[in-house]
Amino acid sequence: MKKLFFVLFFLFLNFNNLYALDVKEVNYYKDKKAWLVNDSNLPIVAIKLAFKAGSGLDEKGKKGTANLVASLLDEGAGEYTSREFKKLLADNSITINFSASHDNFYINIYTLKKNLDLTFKLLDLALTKPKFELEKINEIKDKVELILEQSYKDPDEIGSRLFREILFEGHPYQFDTLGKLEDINKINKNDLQSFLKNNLRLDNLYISASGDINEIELKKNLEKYFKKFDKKNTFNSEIPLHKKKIESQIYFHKKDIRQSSIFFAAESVSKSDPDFYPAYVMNYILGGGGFFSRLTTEIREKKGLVYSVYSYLYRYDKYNFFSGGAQTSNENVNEVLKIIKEELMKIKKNGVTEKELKDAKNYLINSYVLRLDSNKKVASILLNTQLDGLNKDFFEERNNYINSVSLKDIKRVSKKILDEDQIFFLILGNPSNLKDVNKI
Amino acid sequence: MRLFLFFLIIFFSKFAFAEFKPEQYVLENGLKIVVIENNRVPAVAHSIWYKVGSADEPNGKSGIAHFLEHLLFKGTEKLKPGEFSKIVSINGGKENAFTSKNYTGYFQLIHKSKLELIMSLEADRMKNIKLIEKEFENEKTVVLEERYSRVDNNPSALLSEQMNAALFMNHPYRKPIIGWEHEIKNLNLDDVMNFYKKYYAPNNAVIVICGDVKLDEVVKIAKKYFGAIKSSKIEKRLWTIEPTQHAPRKVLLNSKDTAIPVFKRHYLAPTYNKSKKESLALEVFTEIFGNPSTGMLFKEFVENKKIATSAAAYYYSDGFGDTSFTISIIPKKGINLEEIESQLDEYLNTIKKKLINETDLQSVKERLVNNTIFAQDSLYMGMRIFGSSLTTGYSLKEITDWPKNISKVSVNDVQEFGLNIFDKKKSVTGYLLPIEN
Repeated sequence: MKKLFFVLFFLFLNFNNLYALDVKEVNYYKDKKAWLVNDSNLPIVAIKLAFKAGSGLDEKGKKGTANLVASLLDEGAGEYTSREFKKLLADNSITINFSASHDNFYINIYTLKKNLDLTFKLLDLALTKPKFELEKINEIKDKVELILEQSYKDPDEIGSRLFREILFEGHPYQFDTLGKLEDINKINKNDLQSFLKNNLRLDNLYISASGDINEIELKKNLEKYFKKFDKKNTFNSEIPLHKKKIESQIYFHKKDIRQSSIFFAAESVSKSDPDFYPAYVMNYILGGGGFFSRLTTEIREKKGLVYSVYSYLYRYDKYNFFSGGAQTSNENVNEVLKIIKEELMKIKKNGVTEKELKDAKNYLINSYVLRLDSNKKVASILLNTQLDGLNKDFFEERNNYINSVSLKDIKRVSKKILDEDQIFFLILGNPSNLKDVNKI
Repeated sequence: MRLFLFFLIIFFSKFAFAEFKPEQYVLENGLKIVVIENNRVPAVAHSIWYKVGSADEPNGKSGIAHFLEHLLFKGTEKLKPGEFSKIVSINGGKENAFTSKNYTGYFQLIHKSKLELIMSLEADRMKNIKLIEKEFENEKTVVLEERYSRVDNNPSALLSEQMNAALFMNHPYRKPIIGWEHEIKNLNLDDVMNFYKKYYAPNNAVIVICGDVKLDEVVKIAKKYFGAIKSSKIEKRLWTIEPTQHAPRKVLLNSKDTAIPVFKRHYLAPTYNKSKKESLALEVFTEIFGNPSTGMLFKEFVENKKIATSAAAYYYSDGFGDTSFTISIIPKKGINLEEIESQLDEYLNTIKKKLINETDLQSVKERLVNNTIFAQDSLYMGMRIFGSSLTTGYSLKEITDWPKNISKVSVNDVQEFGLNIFDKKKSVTGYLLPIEN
């Protein structure tokens, strides 16, 4: 009887009470629009900007330029030394963060409403009059070099470096966003300035905001500070598509550690591809979330072989992939590898069950509201949706996309993505009896 | 922690309460309920915190508190192993759990219409977990794999574990939260069940909810599901305390798995619970001295002397008895750790004069208090701050009064209590040394 009580709860599942974002487009200059969610619960504002220009554009011999620019923009600008600039930010509780991914140059702003004007002024100084003092350039270079050296010694870092080198061989994505160790010292002040000159342009700028700021305030500031970036694209550099097919192999890098890491990857689809949502739901069921994904159930819950096993979909501008991994004691590597392969092939061959599909949809739809509980998260989602090339209807449609995924869709997309001839595995550690591996 | 968290905590300390308006209610059986209303989205961050952590473990049984945290997902009289998580998930919830030295917490983020469901499940597993030997042994290897991932494969975590055991000579904080490997291996089902029966009770727990819900609704649900659970006799925590420490200690860890040498130093420092005024002054002092981009250490080691790529200090006031105040410095290439250490000792001698003026102190305090506003920008953060503070020595009033109390810290307090910390006899110095290949 008591058991029944719990069962009743989940018979009544539905998608009621879904919460929709009220997204406004703010046309701030010519045809340029920023996306805004106005929420005045707290006197704070989160703003996120992205210029489509990341480390993928770093030139040969100068890998690491985009990241150095990002690291140096708050190290002094205009009349302020680095110390003064950082003190101004800190004393006014202003966060302005610059960072470079492979595809984008990001600016994350988090500030009190009352300091909005000062925040924009400081941002403008950083973008247009950075000092790039030699001393600071060297200080940051030292730091970057240390971290890059770590990618040859630290097990986790070695793993992600090798993973990138295999997946993206011959493509700019193969390098760390921080650059190449031997290049860092060759990057000079001129390179940093050219990066800004070439890439800070309105035609590749995306902006989102969430918080206590209305359309007029946002438009006023954006127009004032960003119309100067309305310039021709004379740079014309673009990251090429990554077209190399994945070879089915088990790569092995020996490292004398207690626990091995296993990685795997295969090509996937872009977010605008009609197969994206079937792939998204399939991944959730296989290894994407929760404690009862197939991989976690089989490898952790039933056998106790790992603490963590997972899979995910990842999107770059010029490549989309499906990937996953696990960490396990050296002596378990063969068994874990075997189960992962079996589970991938099981989904490819049989798809998923009706119940699994229903449970996955319930989670993916009903949990969406949890991604919208803070200004920071809302600003991120607004920005990423623009970067994915979608329009703001997306927020109304997203749950329908998930709800319309069928068992047949999942079977189709699984056949496409989980093709054993096009998946590679990488193992790092000191396992026993590994056979047929490609030592790297 | 049961699974790596995918949402990171950016800053996480007492800096958080100016505008929070919590309300509380205590059930007859002693279960405390705290609700912090936040209406941004129709969701709640629901959590239950047990006042038991690794510091409460019997000798020779390290790792029980954390192991038990894992086992709370392994079924009850009513639920099969894993079913708890399944129900949370198909209802659109995210969940996880964490164990610290002082507390064990379980949380779910979920649509507000599912709060009753979640609370009924949480009430069920407060008393009714049911374990079978096979599940137990299976989860033990999961916990061991967790230890290998987090600690044994990670030189910096290994160094911390060693330093911690050296800093606390007698306080139970010397044990690692996850447990020593050989003791985890020897835990048995009875050990864990006895620990569970002893500490999991309504009068040893706090429910903290941050979200779109009102206290009276929560109290109604809580009475329905937790009301019938009887309180237990919970003994007062009587932890062994630190003796006078007479000698500085040094821990060297050579590792082939890192390229980055790291200098660390822990000083024994009082928790808020042990010495309130001193602890508040230390929070302000830490911001002045140790902020990673504007602090005194950064200025001296990275900007002036140019011998480090980073330099910062940290202090967490939570807990009972003593805690640690930590300095962490990464040298520039070519500078060795001995050089860093001797420069640091020299520097600490020179700052005995005036640390800070009134104007700078005001702006630091304002910065700390402003952080309380940003901290309200997520359901998770509010839940986490209140839960951890309420189980580590803060009353609800002390949490909400935190900005007021911080603003009372004077130049003299910072001067006196800040510099008091640097008694080398109460310290451990740690070197992480890369071994060249």
